[in-house]
This record gives sequence, C-alpha cells and structure tokens, in this order.
Amino acid sequence: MEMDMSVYLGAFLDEVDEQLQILEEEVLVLEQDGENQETIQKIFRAAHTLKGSSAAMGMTTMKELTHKVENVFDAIRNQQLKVNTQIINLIFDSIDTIKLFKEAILEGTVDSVDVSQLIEKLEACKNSATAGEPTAKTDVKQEEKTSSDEIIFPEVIFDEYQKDMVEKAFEMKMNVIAVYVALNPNAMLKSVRAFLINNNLKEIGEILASFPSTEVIEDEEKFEGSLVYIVVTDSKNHEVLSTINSISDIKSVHLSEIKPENLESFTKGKKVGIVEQKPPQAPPPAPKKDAKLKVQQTVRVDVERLEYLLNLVGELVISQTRLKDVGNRLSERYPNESIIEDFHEVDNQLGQIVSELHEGMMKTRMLPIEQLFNRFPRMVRDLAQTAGKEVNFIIEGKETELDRNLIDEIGDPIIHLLRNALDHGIESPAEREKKGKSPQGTVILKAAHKENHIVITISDDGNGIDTEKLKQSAIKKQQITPAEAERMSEKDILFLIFKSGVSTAAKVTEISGRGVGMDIVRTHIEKLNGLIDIETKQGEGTTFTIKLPLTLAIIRSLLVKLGDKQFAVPLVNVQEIIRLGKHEIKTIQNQEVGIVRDQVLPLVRLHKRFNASEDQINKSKRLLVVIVGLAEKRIGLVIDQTLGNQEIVIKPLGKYMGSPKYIAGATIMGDGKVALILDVASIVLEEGVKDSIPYNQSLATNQHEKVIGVTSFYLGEEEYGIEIDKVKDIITVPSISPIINSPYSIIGMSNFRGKLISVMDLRKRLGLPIQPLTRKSRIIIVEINNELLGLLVDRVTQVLKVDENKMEEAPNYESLVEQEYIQGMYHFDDRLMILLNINRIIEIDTLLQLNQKINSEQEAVR
Amino acid sequence: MKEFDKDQLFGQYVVFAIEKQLCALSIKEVVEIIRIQPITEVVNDRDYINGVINLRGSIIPVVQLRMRYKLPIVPFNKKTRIIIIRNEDEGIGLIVDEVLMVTHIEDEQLEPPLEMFNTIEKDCFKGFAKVNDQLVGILNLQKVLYPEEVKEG
Repeated sequence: MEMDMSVYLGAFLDEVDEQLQILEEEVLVLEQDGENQETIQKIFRAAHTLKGSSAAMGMTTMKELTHKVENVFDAIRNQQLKVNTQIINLIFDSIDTIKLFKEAILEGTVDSVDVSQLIEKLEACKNSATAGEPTAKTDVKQEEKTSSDEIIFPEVIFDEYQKDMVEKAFEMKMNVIAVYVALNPNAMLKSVRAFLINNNLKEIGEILASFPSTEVIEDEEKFEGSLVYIVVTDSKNHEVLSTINSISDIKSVHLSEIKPENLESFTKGKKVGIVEQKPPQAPPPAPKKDAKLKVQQTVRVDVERLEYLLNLVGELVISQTRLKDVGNRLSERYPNESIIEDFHEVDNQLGQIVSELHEGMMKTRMLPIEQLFNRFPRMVRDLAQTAGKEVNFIIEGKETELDRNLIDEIGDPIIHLLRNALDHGIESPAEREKKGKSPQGTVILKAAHKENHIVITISDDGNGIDTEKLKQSAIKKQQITPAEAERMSEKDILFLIFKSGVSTAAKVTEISGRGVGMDIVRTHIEKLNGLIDIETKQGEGTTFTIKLPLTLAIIRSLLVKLGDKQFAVPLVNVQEIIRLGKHEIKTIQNQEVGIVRDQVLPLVRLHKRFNASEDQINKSKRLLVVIVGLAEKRIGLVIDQTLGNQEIVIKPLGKYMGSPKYIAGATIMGDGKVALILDVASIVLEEGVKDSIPYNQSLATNQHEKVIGVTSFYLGEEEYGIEIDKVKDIITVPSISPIINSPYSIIGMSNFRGKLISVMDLRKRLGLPIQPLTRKSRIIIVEINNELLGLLVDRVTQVLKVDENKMEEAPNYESLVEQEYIQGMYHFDDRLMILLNINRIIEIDTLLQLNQKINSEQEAVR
Repeated sequence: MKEFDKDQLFGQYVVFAIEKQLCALSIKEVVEIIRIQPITEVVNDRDYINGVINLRGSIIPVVQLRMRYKLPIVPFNKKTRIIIIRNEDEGIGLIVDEVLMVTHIEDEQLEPPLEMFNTIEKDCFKGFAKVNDQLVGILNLQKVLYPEEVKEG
C-alpha cells in the first residue's frame, strides 16, 4: 500500500497546494465580504477535498485537522455558527499548519507536526455552534439498521433543485440515469471506492446527486457500502456500467433510467417533510461547475526539459538564419538555377515553422504572474493586522504573463516593497483620519506589459518618503557628506533609499526598518537586468516602478559598433541614444561627462577595454552616446554606430572562459558571427556614477510626462519618426521579389525571419520622389494588429524618447508630407522630427488582404 | 599524472604542429578538427584565450597554442586548424599551425619527457614518441588549459 501511495505523492502535494490556495483566497474573501453562501461552500469543499485526499494518502493527522476545519464550515454553512475574526485566524492557522504538513511530508517528518492544540480549538469553535440537529445522518442510520444481508439502497428523494436539474436535462435530451452501486460488504476503504466511483462517473457525465449524501459516504463508519448516483450523461448504459466495473470490490451495479414518466416516483414520498428539514444536504450547484472548470487538460513537465527544448529551438533559429544566408549566396552564384528556387521555398517554409515553434516554446515558459500575486493578499492582511493598519489591497493585471524564472526571482523584491508600503507608507487609521484621508489605506500592486517589458508597480496612498529624513540618515551613516547632500537633487536623495543601512524608519519593527530591504530589492532587480524608479509625494503616497525584460533567455537588444567590433546591449537597459557635440562634453573630477538637457551624464569609453580602434570616434565631430541605465543609475556609453534592434538568444561563454569583465554572454548573429553581449550592470556599477558627481537625472518613465519611444529615420532631408512599440525590427534591405498587381506603394515581398512580408516604399506612399536603394537604406518592420509590414526608408538614425506632452500640432510646419499622415512634430534643439501616424499610412484592411494574398501565393507554390 | 597512464596513452593520436614542434593528443580527447573560423575576440585575463567561435550554434572558446607557449604569432593560413577538445563537458578549441596525421602510437614507443625542449614548456608533455623518425610530444591537456593552477599545485 505504502509503495503504491508514493507514486501519487506528487499529485497529492499538487492538489494540496491547489486547495490551500483556494482556501486562502476564499477565506480572505470571507473576511472582507462577510458571509456568503458561495464562498463558504467553496471553503467547505476545499477542506473536504483536502480531507479526502489526505485520508486516501494515509495522512491521518492531516485528515483529522482538515476534518475539523470542514466541520467548522459545515456549521457555518448550516448557519449554526457566525464568522468572526477569531474563526478566520483559526482557519489561517490551520492553513499554515497544513503547509507545515506539506513541508514535513517532503522531509519525511510528518509525525513532528503537532496539531492537538489546533484541533482542540477547532473543536471548541465547532461546539460553540448551537448544537443543531444532525440532519441527514440520522435518517441514514435508521436505514442502516434494516440492512442486514440483503442490499438495501438508500432512498432516492429529489429536492426541488435536483428535480429542476433533472427536468432541464430532459429538455436537453440528455440521459438521466440512477446508478445503483453496491460494494462488497467486506471491502476495505469503502469511502475511497465511492470516491473513485464518483470520479469515474464525473468523467462521463455530471453527477446531479448522490444518496446518501457525500458527507455520509466519506465517513467510513457510517457509510454502508451501497449508494445511488443520479447522473446526467451522453454515454450509453453499457459505458456507464463498464466505467464503474473497472473499480474493484463492487458487488453489483444496476442502472435505471429516469424518464419524465417515472420522475414523480423519485420525488414523491416524503418529499415535503424531509426536503424542508434539510435544505443544506442538497449537493450545492457550484461544485459541478468547478469540476468542469478543473478539467483543463494539463501536463506537468520538468522545467529542465523545457529549458533543453528551448535551447534546441534557439539553435534551430540560428541554423535557419544561416541556411537562408547560404541560400542567398547560392542564388548569387547560380542565378539561373531553378533548384535554388526550391531551396528558398523550403527554407521559407522551414523558417515559418521555426518561428512558430520558437514562439510556442516561449509561451510554454510563460506563466501568469497570478501565481506569484496570489501569495500576497494573505501576506498583506497579516502584515496590516500586525501593524494595526487598515488596508485595501488591490491587485491588477494578474493575467500578465512572464517567464517562469522571472516569477521566481521577482517575488522577494515585491515582498519587500509591499512590506515597506504597509509599514512606512500607510499611516495608522487615526493618523490618516487626522490628515483627512479615509482610515483605510490603499495599496495597489499592478503588472502590465509595455513595449516588450513587464512593468510592475507598487503604489500606496500613504505618507510618502521623507527625503529630508533620508538625507540625514545617509549623512549619519556616512554614506554621503553633508556637502554632497547639499548638491543632490530630490531624486538623487530618493535613490539613497537603495543604499544599505539607510532607513527613514524611526524604529525597527518586525516588518521592516532595518534599511537592508531596499538594498536587496535593488540587487535583485539589477540581477534581472531591470530598472527601478521611485516617485513619492510627501503626504500623498509612493509609487515604485519595476521594469523587467520579458524573458531571460531571449532578449531584445540594440546592436552597436565599437571600432569594428559588434556588441549587443540589452534593450531593457537602453534609455536613449543621443549625439553630443564637443561643447557638450566636459571633464569633472577626472571623469568625462556629457551635458544632456542641463544634466550631467558620466561618459564611458570602452574601446580600449575591448581592443577596438578609436580612430572613428576621434575623427567624428559629435559623439554617439547610448544612455544605459541599471536600477536607478544612468551612464552614457560612447559608441561608433548603432546597427539596429534585434532579438538575440543569450549564450553563456562557458566555464573555461569564465566571466570576462563587462561581458554578459554571447550571441550568434545571422551571418554566423559571434557578438558579445555587454553586461550593462557591471559597466554601470564600475565605470558609472562616482558618488561625488552631482547627478540628478532620471530617465525612467515618469507619470507626469508621457514619454514615448520613437524610431527616427530620414526620407531625403526630413526626419520622421514612428512610435517604437509598433516597430518590430530594423533590417538591411533583403532581396525583394515583386508581387503582381500589388496595390499602392507595395514594391514586393521579402522574407523576414522566415515569414513573407510585404514591403512598402514609404517614399512612394507619402508621395515623395522615388530614389534608388543605397547602402544606408533600411527596412523598418512594423507590426499592426499582429500583421507585419516592411517600410523602406532612406536611413535610420536613432531611437529616442520624447515627451508626448511636448508634441506640437502638425499644421505649423510646411512638410512635404500630407497632413493626414502626420501625428505631430517634435522640436529638438537644432532639428525637427515628424511623427508619422502609422495607422493612417497603412490601412489595416489593405494589409490583411495583402498578407492573405502572399500566403495564398505561397500555398499555391506548395 | 605523475606516472604513465598507460591506458590513456594507448591507441590513436592526432599529430599536429606548432612552430615546427610536433605534438599529439589522444584521439579520445579530440572531438573534431575544423578549419580556422572567424574568431570574436574576448578580452580577458588570460591572453592565450583568444576569443570565441560559433561551432554549429555553440559558443566555443579558442586557445591560441602559440600564445600559450609565448611563441611569435603568425597570421592564420590555409593550414591553420582548430582542434576541438572536450573539457568539463564543454568544447574548447585549440588553434594549431597544421594537423599532420592520425597515427597509432604503441606504449612501447613512449618515453618520459626529455630535458631537450626549450621552445615549449616541457611540463606540458606527458611523454614522447618517435613517429617516422620525428619526435612527437604527447600533450598534457590539463596543463595546457590551466597553466596557473598546475604550477601552484
């Protein structure tokens, strides 16, 4: 028996997790919304399931505990007991104990968990209920007495609800069958068998009712071994029979169909008398719904296996790009060879499959953040209770999906930030009332996707951060000198909070105040290549914003050139790309800095470090600088050239290579060459802001200004921009094959990562004179409603961030382009950029038609 | 490594040249031999690790054996090869001037290191053998890859 059970241990533990989750959630709901039949039913059921499965696994103590919990909720359900804080806390204690059990099971120390006290308390709690008449049980007992050797089935009596359900089933032309099952009188574990029968029947249909009631069946002592299920099913009678006969120790099964004609016989009899006496006995309607919901088909897979597969897909992506490259070279060499056409076709097809495979694999690693967020309501409640605060905790964007590794990693930082919000942010109810706020504070935890990143915000409407106090604390801890403090901006001071040992808390509490938490938060976020920003307003509240890459294995990156060497900079770290003139570069305390919008930005030249030639940048009049950030720090990397955005697969350099300074890994480019990925974290930390330099620039997204990213490019002399979230990639011009009868300004189609996309000459579309392709010509791949389109432009310059509020209305300027395509303009110091309204330029219907056409042509070729 | 590990030395050897010195690695240690590839330089503390190459989608570090032995660097040519070996479950490439042959070396042909080599650190060899009247040094891979640690030990 024990041997067999170990096989189910994993499934059992999963189930325990699942049910505990439900318990926790629902008890919180119960606490907030008060008594509500549905909630109580759910709790009752969860406790019940736990009891059942722990009994089946032979975990007697756990069974006992869950049984007591179930009893308490049974009493609540039957309105013999009122929910109060004491009960809620007791239930939470029980949940925690069950969690302990789970741990103990894993460690093999189940006996060490002591539940006697808790059980006593639960017992006492239950007994405090007005001892209501035990309902169904007595009835069954009476019947039991009559059952000697002959099988006597419990009486089948429908209440109004059940009758109603049966009638509905008739309307839907479903079979309603009464299944009479008798177990061998000397069979062991009758309840478990009944449970199995129940499960098997659930698979083929819906169980409307069981007689005796589930409670009786589950009670090994009371259950006699004969039962009747009312099942609504599509299955044939023999299928029902075989389902049940697959379970051992069944003495007899017989079916009797319930028809409209004989329905009355099931509902007559003691209907009136008994049904009214025991309304709660009726199986609640909800469990059936839930049972249906749970039938989501899933397979649990070892993460390592997924990881391995994903790796293979990465390799496949690389090989495919190379294959394409080889194909192109072949066509150049043998332009008239028709077999090469076939090659391209196969390659295209392969590319399509690979990219879909890739996408699918990525999705398997993605999980809704719900998994993590669900842990917090309970925590917030407990913390609030400990701290004596009233908090309304709101979670938004639970469904946001992100890589499972990230979910594991981001938990701690969020916990710290939530603790801070509760302990330091939200004031006590009395204090709040004094300030004219509602006594109940609000904490909002929100997750959302934004431009290929996950943005998590934690905001409270509490007291805000006292920057003055922070400054004093930092000076006291000798993190900064008073003179430095003088020069620092509000934002700089705010970021002091991330330094170890700095805290504004007057006293250290159980929850927080030691000043280490924020340091941990920062380290974690840096490790994940993320950014963090704080915004606070004295007396009004604080918002922390965490920005993370979607996944750790495949990232979007900006390709840059240092000398003749290519490097990839993770896009999540890239804030902005700017050009600095000579006059904008200064040296402060031996550190080269750039002056950007009156702010000081430390500049870092890595050419020497990477053995790259500096000739190019020494020659040019203006420096091209990528502003990169890590957590709250920003520096400017001096580069020769940007090569565009690309999704890259991160590959480790391996054990032998170790971890060279400033290199995070490597990636393989389309041409098969290896490009190194810059480790922005270490560059920023080592080369970056020396504490003595006044630095007060935060480029992180700020709520007051609506910053949008724009890819800017030139058509002739005019600079244009497209919002970056529409831009999927920027590529050099590949071979473009013409499309017959193509509409508008579509010049042909091209292969983009294995997909055929149409390419539009933006000059043609905007009515500008056509020009031949040059070396600088690029294709910007845009995505509109999931459809891709390439836009041919003269050259792409940079990615910049602009404040949407500073946008000027179009009509002020004489552009060559018609007004309707212009969304707005931006003035920079010395130039003007026209932001294009891409949705006007590309009508989605046309695009759809076009893509369909391409696809059908491709089909036809196949 | 102090004594002769007969088992390991037994069998087939890949013979290659660095600065005219013939060296050999047991075929068990060699995964494959490829032509010289574009190498992406990775600046790191050990200058003999030249950089990385892309070997069918895997990033493989490459060791310049000439650099390792502080020999003059010569430009790569048609004969330059990368010998891929396996170390701690990952591939490492060794850049050699030329790969000459795969040959069978019997235990009996092996002799302990001699004192006569100056071009290449002699402690990098496990032993020597005469093949076609030429002296071939059997490389001690661990010492080639990890000079610092071995010296300390």
